[in-house]
Amino acid sequence: MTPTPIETSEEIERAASLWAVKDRPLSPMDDASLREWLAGDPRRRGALLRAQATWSSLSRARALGPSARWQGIQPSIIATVSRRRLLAATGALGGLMAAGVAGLIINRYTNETITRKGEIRRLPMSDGSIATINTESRIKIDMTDTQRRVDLISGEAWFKVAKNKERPFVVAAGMARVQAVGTAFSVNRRDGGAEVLVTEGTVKAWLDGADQQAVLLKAGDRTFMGQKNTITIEHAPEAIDSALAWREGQIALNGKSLSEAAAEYNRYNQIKIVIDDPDLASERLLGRFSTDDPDAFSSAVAQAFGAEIIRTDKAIYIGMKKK
Amino acid sequence: MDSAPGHIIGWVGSHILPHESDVRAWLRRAQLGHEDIEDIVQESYCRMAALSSVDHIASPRGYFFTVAKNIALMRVRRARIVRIESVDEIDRLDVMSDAPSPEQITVGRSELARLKRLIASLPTRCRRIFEMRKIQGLPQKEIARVMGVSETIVENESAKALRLIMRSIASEESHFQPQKELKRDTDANRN
Repeated sequence: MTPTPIETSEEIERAASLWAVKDRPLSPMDDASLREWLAGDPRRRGALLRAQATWSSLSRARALGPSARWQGIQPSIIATVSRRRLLAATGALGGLMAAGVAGLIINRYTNETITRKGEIRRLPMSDGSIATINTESRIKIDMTDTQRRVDLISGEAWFKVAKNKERPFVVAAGMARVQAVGTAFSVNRRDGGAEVLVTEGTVKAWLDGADQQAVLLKAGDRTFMGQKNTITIEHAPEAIDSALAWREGQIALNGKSLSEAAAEYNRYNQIKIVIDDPDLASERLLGRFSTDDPDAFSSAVAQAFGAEIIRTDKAIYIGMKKK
Repeated sequence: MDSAPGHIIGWVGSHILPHESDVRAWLRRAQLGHEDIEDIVQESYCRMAALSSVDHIASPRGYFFTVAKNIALMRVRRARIVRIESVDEIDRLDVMSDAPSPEQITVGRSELARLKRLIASLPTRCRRIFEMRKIQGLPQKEIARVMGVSETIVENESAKALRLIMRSIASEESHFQPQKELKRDTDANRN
């Protein structure tokens, strides 16, 4: 029954979404071909249920009314900000018509987003891509008809890029350039360069102005692009998964030393964790914790190692008990 | 074979989908890879498609977690190379209780705000067609006429909007709280 070659989940999802949006009741011909489709790969039935359930639950959108009426109050959406500017410029044009005109006239959206300490923000872009921006970061998005460009001015962000061969998606971090077609990756700008982690698909990376060729990074690859003219690639899918735990508001400790873990916490919180004991600082840890709860982390450390905590307004000191 | 009956579709839409990002986050905690998680979620929906009634399910959230856990365990045990720690990790996952946490209550309130975000992030033509279908409730034929495009295009664009929204839901941050657990590295490496 299962057709060969085996369908990918994505192909199944695509077909299921087409069946889900069809006006009901189906024509007798469509009904027959849907039954036939469902009789194939058993995964299809689950995919169809998920698509139909999502489609039917989206009827809640009716409560919102046309987007032209509420888009002005969503300043975090890039396309919306530009459309609002356009609305102001064109004055009396309203409703759907303005949205339609916006599609014709506006072909360039720029927008800058800044995150504060401890803030992790998910930012959907006008092309369907998503940026998840880590603590204390600053990015500038520039959408044109020929290119989607993101400047990582500081900090770290993970990008889930919507496929579009005609408009390459390029992230610039200092001299480092990372280009994707449809893929997911993160860029972390640090002193002396940028770290690139690829979670899906393939990206092209190069140094602006350097002589040597661009390198290709695949899912699970990571690299650090510094001043040096050579780019070394390392395949480390599990390390990447842990390094990106921040997207879920977590810190993955995976064998980090206590001092490294403390430094990681201090990226997210005003209150600093200070390890007072060198032996304790080199202890290795496992587990996942919320980035925003240094107190819970400190007390878990105290419990695990029999350490003592002194907490002031500005810092949490962890040290061994005086004997 | 028939598609699932309307009342099951409605029930999944309102009682199961809102927990999907939590189930995914929960499976990630058991160190399962992205593809495994996709398969487990899809298979969970397959099981639900086979239901004829949901009257016996008192806690849809708990049900979803239990189904996912059973599928995950089955898959790991079926694999030729069994990762001991995976079985252990999955086995130790507690099925979440149905009592909504304060975070989930807030999530419920911000549902519409989230929906707005999802719609606003759709590409222009896709969004216009989606709005005519779902907000104004126009039939496909009428939309094709207004837009001056074929019905196939309306169907394709609607399906695209649906897929983009489903993907956003799947990649959404979960409000699920990780367990506060900490182990010494040496303890964990005993396996």
